[in-house]
Amino acid sequence: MTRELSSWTRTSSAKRAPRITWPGDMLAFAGTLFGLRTRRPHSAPPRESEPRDRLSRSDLRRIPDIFNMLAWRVDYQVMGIDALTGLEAPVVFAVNEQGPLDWQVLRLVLPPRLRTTHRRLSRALSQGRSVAVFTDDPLVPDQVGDFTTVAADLATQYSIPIVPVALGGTFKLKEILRLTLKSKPKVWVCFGAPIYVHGRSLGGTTAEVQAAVGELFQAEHLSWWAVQRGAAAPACRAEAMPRWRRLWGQTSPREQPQHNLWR
Amino acid sequence: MPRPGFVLEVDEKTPPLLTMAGASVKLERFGPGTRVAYPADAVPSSDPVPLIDAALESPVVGQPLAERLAPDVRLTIVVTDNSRPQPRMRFDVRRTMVERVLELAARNKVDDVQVVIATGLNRRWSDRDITEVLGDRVATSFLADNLITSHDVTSDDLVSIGEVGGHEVRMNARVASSDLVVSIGVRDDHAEGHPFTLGLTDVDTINRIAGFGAAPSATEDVAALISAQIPTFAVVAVLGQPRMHPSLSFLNRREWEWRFTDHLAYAAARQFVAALPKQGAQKLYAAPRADYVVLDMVGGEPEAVHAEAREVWRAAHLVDLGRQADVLVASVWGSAFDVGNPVGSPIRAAHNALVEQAGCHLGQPLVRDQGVVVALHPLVQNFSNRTQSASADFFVNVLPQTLDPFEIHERFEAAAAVDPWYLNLYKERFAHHPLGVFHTWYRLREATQGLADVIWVGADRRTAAMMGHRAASTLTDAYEIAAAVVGHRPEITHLHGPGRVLGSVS
Repeated sequence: MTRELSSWTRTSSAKRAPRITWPGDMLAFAGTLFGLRTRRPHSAPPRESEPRDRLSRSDLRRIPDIFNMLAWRVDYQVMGIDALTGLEAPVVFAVNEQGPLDWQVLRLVLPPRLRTTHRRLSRALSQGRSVAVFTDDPLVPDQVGDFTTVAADLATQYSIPIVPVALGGTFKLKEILRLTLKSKPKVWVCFGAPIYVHGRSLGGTTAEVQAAVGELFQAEHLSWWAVQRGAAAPACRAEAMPRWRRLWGQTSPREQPQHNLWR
Repeated sequence: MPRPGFVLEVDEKTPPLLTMAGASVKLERFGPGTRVAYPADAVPSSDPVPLIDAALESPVVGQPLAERLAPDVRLTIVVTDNSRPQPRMRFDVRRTMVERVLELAARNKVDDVQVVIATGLNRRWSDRDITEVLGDRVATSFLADNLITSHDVTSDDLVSIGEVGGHEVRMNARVASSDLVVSIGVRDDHAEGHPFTLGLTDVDTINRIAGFGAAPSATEDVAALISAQIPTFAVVAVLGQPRMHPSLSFLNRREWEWRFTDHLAYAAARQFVAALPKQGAQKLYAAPRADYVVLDMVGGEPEAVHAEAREVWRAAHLVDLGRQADVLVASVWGSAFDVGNPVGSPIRAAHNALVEQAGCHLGQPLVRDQGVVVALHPLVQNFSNRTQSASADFFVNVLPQTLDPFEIHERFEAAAAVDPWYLNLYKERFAHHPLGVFHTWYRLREATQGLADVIWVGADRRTAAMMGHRAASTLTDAYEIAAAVVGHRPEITHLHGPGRVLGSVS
């Protein structure tokens, strides 16, 4: 060492003993009559109301709400919940109809800020609450029913995204739960990437939502390898394309925008 | 729009104000007449997708991105990582930006797409970093085929794109051979320059434009060369102030607006750290995340985009401080500069206080010539073995010898730049490049040139002396020491954290 430091420049001991600060801080707060005596300084601007937060990864629960009794009666698997990161209410959830407990199951796995209603949809959206729109009953068992244009219509009207959701294992769940069971019935929920409706037609958006939910529903039944080969995306199979585009398409299936005569 | 920043003149009715030092927070009473610069309010973010789509469709200069995409285009998406918002973004807007660009690329059937992270001398991104920042969808689609890479400034496969001042400028091979490069970045400071100059070039070029004795004209020349050679479409998100998680909600509000829950959160945070100094600080402040509102999204030709983004950031963060201070007080919060280290390393702490905070101005320094900067930080010798190995050795081996940048440049820099241990850590273990700490030190010494003294409150005396600064036990003691230079009635300005203030003085 060539630099000469002053003789009193010694390293202080790194260890700090644990201290109790809470009572002192709370007493100081109590001294201001719990904030009642604190006044805004003259040169400070007035207070403003604060808007709500967006969802972050930490807001997303990987397990369902343990205070809900349904959570204790079924085995859950939640997939693709990262697709909800960054969303803010309201959004439209487009869900396949399976049984009477579909909405309860969806409500169970959603973060509180995105919890949905399935009644008075337009009113709920105008109040900032998310809604769930279900398909018609499927004509063939274990398939996805048809969506009407309601989801696309609401999303366009309120400029909000549609989140495709596939539910499985909820068919006749209400009846199954009445039975005496040795093991809990299995239920899965799969979220897809949000679909933004800006500048698209209702028909095109509905078709895209239909395809997205169908793919999410099928993906559960396919092996990992089948998904990698594009089996879940029939529209993509005919065309030779690099793997990134196939994977990209699988995570968010998209169709070419339809050109309507009146546009 | 968030409330803009402002200057509070402390009077006898002003409540104690929040100060931060490493992992500690404290309510401190300031003397009447002290000016406290508050940053603009931190507000929650909103959905950035419409802003991104608008920026891609309506660039400030040039064609919309969709018109430049075709199936045979060799497309590279560059995620710039020169400026890193700290605390880290809770929801990284770069993820949505990359996703929207990829949507366009997929719609236009672009086959040849790769993603390059422009890290420069910062630590390269691991697969985990990539997944965290860019999201599962991008990671799933690209990581498996090695289509996402972090730029390596020491790589052998960098290619020459021309010469500046007789020196060859080498660049990332993939970027240099691309038909179109889409640059994705955020702006959270007032820095000038093209992000590719420090992010995607070779180590020699970076050293010439940001190392010892770097001339600003060199940066401009390299930027001009890159602009001429690389067809680029830039998209930049201009960020607002960090908004903390509810457990640290007291950091988001001004002291007289604290609610009951904020007081509870403040008392709980203090007690947590006081009772468990290491574990508590680690849990609360090691890697906090903050929500950043996107003030604007700008797309188009890089020069126009960076100029406009800088202008927007300036307009949103500017605070008129009136006159230069004799004494500038800065809180140095560990979470604001070192990820994973709740207290922060001393060299980075000094850089934060003197360059990032005191140096954030419109050209006229916030503190007068021969004034004093008082910074609050414990300056514990606290370096990460893996990511800051070169900084730790710099502190232990170089600073005891000399503080002079010229001597450091001549005697120590060349050896550190080729040290195989540091380079292995940089290439394989995601550490910072060894030259990073040298550049940090040069900027630090430039920042202290016009100052009479730098005083650290509550700091380790030896560490402060090692950096050529002084230490004081309390803020009042620091004022006493400063009084020898600035007199007994100095103009004091306090920069209130944790947000950033762009100070303007007349």
